[in-house]
Amino acid sequence: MPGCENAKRRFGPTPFKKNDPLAVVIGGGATGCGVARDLILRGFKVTLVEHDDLGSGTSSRFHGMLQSGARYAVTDTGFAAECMRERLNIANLAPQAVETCGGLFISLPDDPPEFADQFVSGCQNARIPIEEIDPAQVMSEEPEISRQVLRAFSVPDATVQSWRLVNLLADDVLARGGEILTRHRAIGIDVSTGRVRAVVVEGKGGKRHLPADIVVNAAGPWSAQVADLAGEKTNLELGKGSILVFSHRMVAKAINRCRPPTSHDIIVPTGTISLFGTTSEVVNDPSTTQVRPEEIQELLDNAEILLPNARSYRAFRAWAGVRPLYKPDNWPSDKPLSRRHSIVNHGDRGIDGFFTICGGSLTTHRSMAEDIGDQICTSLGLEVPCTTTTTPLSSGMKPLWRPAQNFHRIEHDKQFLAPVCECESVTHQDITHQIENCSIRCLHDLRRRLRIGFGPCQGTFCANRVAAMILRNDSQYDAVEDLEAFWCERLKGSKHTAWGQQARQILLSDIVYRETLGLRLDDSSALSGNSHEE
Amino acid sequence: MKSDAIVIGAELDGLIAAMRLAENGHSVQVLSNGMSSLNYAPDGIQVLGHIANGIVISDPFDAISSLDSSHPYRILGADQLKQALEWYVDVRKRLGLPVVVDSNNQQAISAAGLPLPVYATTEHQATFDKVHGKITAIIRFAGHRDSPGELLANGLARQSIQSVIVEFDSPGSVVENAALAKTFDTMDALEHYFECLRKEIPEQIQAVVFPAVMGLKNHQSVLSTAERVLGLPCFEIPTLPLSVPGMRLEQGFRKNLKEAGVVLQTGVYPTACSIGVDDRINVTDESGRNHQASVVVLSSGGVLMGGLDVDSRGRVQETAFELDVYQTAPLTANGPNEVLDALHNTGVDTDYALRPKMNSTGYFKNLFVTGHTLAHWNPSKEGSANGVCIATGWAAAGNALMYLEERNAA
Repeated sequence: MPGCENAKRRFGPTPFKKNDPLAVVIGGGATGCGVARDLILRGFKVTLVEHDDLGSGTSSRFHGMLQSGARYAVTDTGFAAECMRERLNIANLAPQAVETCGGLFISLPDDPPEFADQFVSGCQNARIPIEEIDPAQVMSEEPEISRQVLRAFSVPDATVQSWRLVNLLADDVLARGGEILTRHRAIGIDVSTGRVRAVVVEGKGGKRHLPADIVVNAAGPWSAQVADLAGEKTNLELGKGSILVFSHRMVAKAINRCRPPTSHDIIVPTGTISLFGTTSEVVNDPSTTQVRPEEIQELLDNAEILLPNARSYRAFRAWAGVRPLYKPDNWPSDKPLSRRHSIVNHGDRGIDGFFTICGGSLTTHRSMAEDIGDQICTSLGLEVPCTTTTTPLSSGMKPLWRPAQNFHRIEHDKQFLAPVCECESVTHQDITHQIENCSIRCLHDLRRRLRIGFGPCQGTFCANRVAAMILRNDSQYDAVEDLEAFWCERLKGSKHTAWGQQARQILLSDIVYRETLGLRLDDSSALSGNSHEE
Repeated sequence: MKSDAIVIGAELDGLIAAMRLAENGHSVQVLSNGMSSLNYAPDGIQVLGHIANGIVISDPFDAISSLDSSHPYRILGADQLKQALEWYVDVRKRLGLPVVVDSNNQQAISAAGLPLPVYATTEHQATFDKVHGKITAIIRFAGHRDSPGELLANGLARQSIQSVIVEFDSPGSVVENAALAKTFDTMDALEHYFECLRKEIPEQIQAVVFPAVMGLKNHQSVLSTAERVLGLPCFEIPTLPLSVPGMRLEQGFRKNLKEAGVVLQTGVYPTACSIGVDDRINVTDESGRNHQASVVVLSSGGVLMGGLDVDSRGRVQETAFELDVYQTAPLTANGPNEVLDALHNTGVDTDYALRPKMNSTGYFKNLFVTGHTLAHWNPSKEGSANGVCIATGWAAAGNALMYLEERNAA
């Protein structure tokens, strides 16, 4: 990734004593960052290794829900109860990353009528507050949804700004003396006499040897590849899900069909947009994030049932994520896999100190971390309790995130020309802070932290302004290459939705990038990189 | 309303067709939705800058033969293109917006300091030749978001041009392209403003570049004042849209067309067209009004300007006449290049005289299609945006004139 050498951050000096156990966590998603935070609070010396940027895998490639668990209340009641507890824990811990929009489950004529009653008792069993609402009221409050709502239930679903959450966790790890190596790939795990000894990582600066008493494989869909570094196997099933991004908040609340959880049955308002998802198919390659054109039509056809005007909405882009689910040996092929996480202590198979954690969800990342932290401590004969719910993040408590909060600030200060990214109301000040204080010097990484380029114009107007700002701080920055890569990446997601207004937007971006800035879109830059996140 | 000719759309090609028809004594009405992609276009005339694989073109006429045979340039041929350009260069003089034609493509300087091949340039348009070997001051108005100075400096450095960014007070409180241009147009203390600027410009500077916002109507006198006061050659660099040089051109055309008696109607969205008695074409708009003419030039633009529309199943439609459209599938494109190609290359196929197919057997006699509404070209990839619009707008008017002549003779 161009221009990102400085993304590696190291805060010192470390407050650790010589004998503190050394833990290396592989994977910089919500799970890995959660585990790193759990272990550092228990007194471990922690290094986290991420092969790309923080939260660039499954953690940012889902529908953005902070689940109340209601979705799994019938099929997986235990997991649903865990979600509800964690939904509250995360909103308490990191309110600045959470929007409590609330959720609705609606029964439409196609949905099995008997499910609604099962759903109510499932929620009650999982201790999820649920209230039945008059369908007429729901249809008046949600004018875009189908007029055929038969029953409706309100649950405390919320949404989460996943990159913000992941970065809050990572910042806390850094502030407590941990080390985070982004754009470093684990290429070897040293094992001798039945114990892990070290992890070998490779980044732009070369190879590093990280001594370790404990190695946690939290690599999500890449867990099998990481386990393989120690000659181990994992039981993973990879499910690809594609999501369609609509340009506005079409709905006020996250809306699910009231039926057993399946494909394309949910629309989630998040930030200034709405996400409709998801498709579902089993894949082999964890990096498979290509959306097939048929998936888009499948999503639109199904969206029309929930939102009759779906095809007339403007859609920005589509993207896919790969969900790693734990699949026990001899699991019947027709039985759905549990969403609950699973932990493998490879010590049971002769490699002490090596653990793999997989499955679960972003909502439960903290309880997953607590679970593995307990097991790690037990394996070392330590008795240190988990304190992740009682210790505040070092960034402190901030108000709950709400849509357009930046805009309120701009309006208050009357700085109407201040936004560098108008679509998401990101200001000069926000960007300068990231560039100068956090050494984030590539457009992709700024996008993940600030949402630049997420709105209707998909980076057409802000990217060149931000590139100029980076140049001001870093004369070595290759602005042309970074802009080309950024535009290509934005186009990769929006090519799936090249109809109506978005088709026009794509052509306007071409006028800006090629005819005004003079960039070229040659085949090599079009082919480099394979990411197209939100 | 009845007239000899209707032009649908106020794109460059439509304005050219309207002007040529009016010049020849015909009554013309221009029906447009009020938008024009001229508002996005940088200065100068781009005829052909690149062909496949990014090869940069120095002689655009020479390179036409390497384009696909369905390309509008191939349909019209190099001779018609040359005649159209000659006529257009003369028009630019009449509009008070003259251009200079060199023997080969010049390299204009883009907003990011990169080369943009261009066939003709305006006097104050920055090119690499004009600043070659000169230490250049890049003027940035404080708070102006759409002239990324550091990117420009970075690009100039790639071509070994040394530059210094000089941040200076904006002349007005609204630091936005069109507002800045209007401020310069009406500024009383222009000389004083540039005298203050002179104090900020370091000794060693040999040329000055401003963002292209130095006036909408009076830019030539604003820039000559700057040159006189600063004692340095001054040039303009394109900004991000909206493009002030494009707006100058659009305003120039509108003024000239009005003077020639052309009726310019904006806010008109044609919804249906039919052939009536005597082959006259009826255009009905969204408000139910009827417009009638003996010939129609369809210059409604491509997907960008709404002359073509892509639906969520990836089908492309021509929005005024529902003409047959050539298309590849934009929604199944493999990569960024393919989707851009699909969106640009879609459009209406025509015969040699720019007449579209009427049904499976024949062609329209008195409907002509121009510019971005035509299929088989890609302005951004080829650097051909103006050239194709000029050639097809000019040729469509020529063909319409022939039709009107024959009709009158009959």
